[in-house]
Amino acid sequence: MKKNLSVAMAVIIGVIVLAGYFFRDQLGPVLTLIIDWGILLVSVLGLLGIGYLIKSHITKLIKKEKGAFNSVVVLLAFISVLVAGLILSTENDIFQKLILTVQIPVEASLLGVLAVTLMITSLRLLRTRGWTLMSVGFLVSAVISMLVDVAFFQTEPGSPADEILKFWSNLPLIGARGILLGMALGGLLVGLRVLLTIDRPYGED
Amino acid sequence: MTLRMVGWVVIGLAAGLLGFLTIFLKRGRHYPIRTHQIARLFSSSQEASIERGLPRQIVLGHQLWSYSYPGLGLWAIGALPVFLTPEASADGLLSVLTADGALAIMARQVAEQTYHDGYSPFLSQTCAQIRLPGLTPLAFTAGFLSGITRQPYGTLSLLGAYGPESLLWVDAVQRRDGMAMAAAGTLAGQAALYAYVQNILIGESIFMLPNLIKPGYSSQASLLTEDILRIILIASLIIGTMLKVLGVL
Amino acid sequence: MAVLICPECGAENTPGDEYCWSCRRALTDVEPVNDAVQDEPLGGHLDELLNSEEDLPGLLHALRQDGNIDGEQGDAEDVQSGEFHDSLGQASSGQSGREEEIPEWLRRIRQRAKQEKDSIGEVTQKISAAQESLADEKRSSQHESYADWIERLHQDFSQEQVAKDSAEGAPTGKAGQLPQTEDPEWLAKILKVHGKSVEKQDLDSLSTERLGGNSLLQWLVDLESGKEKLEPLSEEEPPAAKQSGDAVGEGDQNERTVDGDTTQEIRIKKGTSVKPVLSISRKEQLEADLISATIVDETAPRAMRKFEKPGSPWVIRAAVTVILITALSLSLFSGASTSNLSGSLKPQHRALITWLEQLPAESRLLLVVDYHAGFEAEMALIAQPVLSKAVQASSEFVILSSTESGVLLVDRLLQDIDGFETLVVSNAGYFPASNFAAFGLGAGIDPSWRFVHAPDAVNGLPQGDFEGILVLSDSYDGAKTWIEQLYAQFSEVTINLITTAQAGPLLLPYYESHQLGGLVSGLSEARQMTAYLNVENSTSHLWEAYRTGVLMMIIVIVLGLFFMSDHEGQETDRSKGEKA
Repeated sequence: MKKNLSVAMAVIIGVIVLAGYFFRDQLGPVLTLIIDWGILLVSVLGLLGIGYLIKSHITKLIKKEKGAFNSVVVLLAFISVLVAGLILSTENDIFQKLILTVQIPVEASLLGVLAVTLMITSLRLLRTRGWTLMSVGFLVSAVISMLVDVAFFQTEPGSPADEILKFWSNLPLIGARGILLGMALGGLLVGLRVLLTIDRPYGED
Repeated sequence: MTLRMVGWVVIGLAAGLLGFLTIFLKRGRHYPIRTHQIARLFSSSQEASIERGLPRQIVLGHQLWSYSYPGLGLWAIGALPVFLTPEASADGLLSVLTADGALAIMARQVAEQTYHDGYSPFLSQTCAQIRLPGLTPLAFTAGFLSGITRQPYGTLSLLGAYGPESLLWVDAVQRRDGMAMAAAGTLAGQAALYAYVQNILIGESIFMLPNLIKPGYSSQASLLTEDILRIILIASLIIGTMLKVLGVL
Repeated sequence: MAVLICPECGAENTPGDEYCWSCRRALTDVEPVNDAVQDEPLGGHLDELLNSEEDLPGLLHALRQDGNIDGEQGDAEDVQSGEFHDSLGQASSGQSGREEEIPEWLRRIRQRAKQEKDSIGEVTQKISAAQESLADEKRSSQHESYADWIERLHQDFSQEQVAKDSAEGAPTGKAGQLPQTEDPEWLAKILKVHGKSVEKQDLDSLSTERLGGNSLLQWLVDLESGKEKLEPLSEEEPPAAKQSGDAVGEGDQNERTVDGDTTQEIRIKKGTSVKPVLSISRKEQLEADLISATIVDETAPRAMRKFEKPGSPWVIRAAVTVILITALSLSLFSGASTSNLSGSLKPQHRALITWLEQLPAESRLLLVVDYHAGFEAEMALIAQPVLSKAVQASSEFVILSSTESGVLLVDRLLQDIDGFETLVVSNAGYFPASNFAAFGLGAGIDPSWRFVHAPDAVNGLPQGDFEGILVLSDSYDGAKTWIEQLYAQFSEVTINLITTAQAGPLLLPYYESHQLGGLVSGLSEARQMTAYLNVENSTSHLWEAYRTGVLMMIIVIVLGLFFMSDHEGQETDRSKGEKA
């Protein structure tokens, strides 16, 4: 009974949302209600995600697993920021500095490491994939894009060179559009599989 | 012809094809999916990791739903049961990571579905662990990197929607002699991982992954439907372009 | 009822039959027997056996084997088939009570025994053996059984020998007596143990009448009862033992000819053991070595592998690091670029600048913040010139954030802009658009079905007229979401996008489709904007460093094309090589 109820709910809500796209005037009010509920649910799930994070660190601490000290740091930071935010409010300068002084350098350093790693991987691309058309084309396009980005090529607007450069700049967009179309088709079928109860990703067989 | 009519046609055609082909292939017929070595390498790596007692992780991405990549998070959740086999989750070294609370809850539901209908957690304590290392992409990266404490590492499987920061995960795993398999759906993820990961599926190829690992008639039906729609779309684009050039449209 | 018992096989035949139905023996000389008559026990043995409390499962099993007779109920033990001595041993262990009814098989045995002295043959042997385990008061009967047995053996042997001697012309002894020239070795041994010589033994003394204390049978019985003890044979070889091939003579010999077959005696000295020679082939040896090596390998303790990053020597890495840092530092301190960039403005930049210049005074702008803390520095460089102009013309900023720390980041961004103090900043809160359905933002439907006091998420967007919308985003996904949804809801309002370099190229089509009023992305375009807007900031200084870093990256990639590719195929995925 529980399985049938969850399947029925998923199908009904999915069909209403899909039908609301086509019958907007007739199903508008229902659609609004469902969307409100969905937004509430997603927000609650976001809070649950925070709770999951805290719970996993507490569990790690209790079980004294490897890396429990890091969990102590995380929990202390979480509690201190929570208390500071409740007391000081988000407009407070001290609170802003408390958050951003830690968050900005950490994320910026990770992005810096990412940039260096990208450089190393592009260095090893041929070693990983060998001399293939795809790998050589990948590297050549990356080099040309970087050269264009740093304004290595200066062209007059409207000139043939400028047109060629524009064409070259639009090439990645063409490939991206193709990939996005394929992803959209795949996403459409994933949704239809859920609507037709072929897939039940909500935990039922 | 308005966009709404086009939507009617595409969605209706997709639904009809999917239903018909599911029933058609259910009767013992087979649709030959394009082969890819990723399934074989993943299976052998997973077996070796299980035998050696190495940790294995599955990343479900940062978002359940994405405006640019709709269905990617849902697909990751739908593909999760393929990875949560009894052999893989029996030793307690398999964990599922995500940065989205909704994905974490659904993944837990999928992983613990054996506890329904009479099963008790006291009978089987081991199952896949669901973890949420961070709530933002870079926070997730920091949590993931700090969580890799064991050496060596087993297998990392990347599913769902994630960005270029996935390169840091893969690099950390491969430095610990682990094997990474990626189904990169986002453009940034594909660009970052293509140069570094050999076992990668990019674009719409990621939807083949569940069928490559565990063939089934339902996944074959959806792949066949997708192939048919893709051919129709390509033909429509070419015809539309030609008509536009000729001035008809 | 009278029956004819066949003397040959013991089968019952009806009176009047001329031939036995089983073995076709003539029954003319057989007298009918009344099966109801209680027969005399065979030498008193059978009844005594059956009257005994002891169980005779061995006997019964043997009888079963002989006559294919169904087993009697009540047999308590199973007896190993074919083992005479085992059956004897088990027979001595106990006996079930005799039943009142004489079973059919027993009746047959008695009838046959009446007709022939030793018609049951083996059965007699087994009965005799079973009798050995009885009490002392039955010894006499055992003696008689043994006597019968041995006498029969003697008779058989003597008959055979006589026949053989007569055929060979050798002298024969009396019937029933062994010829003096031939001594059964087994008997000699037994008698030797017993202390008797067998050479001149008159075997007539082995007759039943002479059984007494010195008889072999008496000795066997005494042995069983424990009165006699078996003494081990002497170590010395029997005097008659000779090498094989020698003529058979008197005394112990190691080769006898019995019944035409040559038998050899193998004397095993006590205390000496002959080690069996084990021959192993080379293949077996190799397999055994492999197995032992595998076992040793599996049980050997293994040290933890040390993971060392393979790579170039530290000198090269240090040199590359020094070169990178030096080049970037020099470019940072080299000063601002002085090149004229006004002519290289792209259309999307010009459109944005035009919009900024045409902003009415006291305008109200919606600022959507969709970037993370890691891009704060880049976004500050790109957005500062635009916001500086926007602040001059605006009176109110409504800030909407779709990232967790977006409000904090935009506050930090605005604090560095001149004129920020006079600006009214309204915080619309955190609005994670990426998690919402497409309808939620752009529906614009009057909510008629809603719970009272429920949060109004759909209409949580700030209402009112805006002169413009500025979207600050660091990703293609977030920017696309806001552009499409805001355009659906605020179609009359100009939407401008400020984004990082990674998202800019992918979002250009939105400008070309007129969904965006203006677009600026990346440090290179920000530099052009800064120069055109004549805003003072550190963009120019950082631009040179950025350019140097990018050029160095290009050089490294090009060098890698020619040098790193020499190791093609060598570094396969280690995991794949190991685990696949």
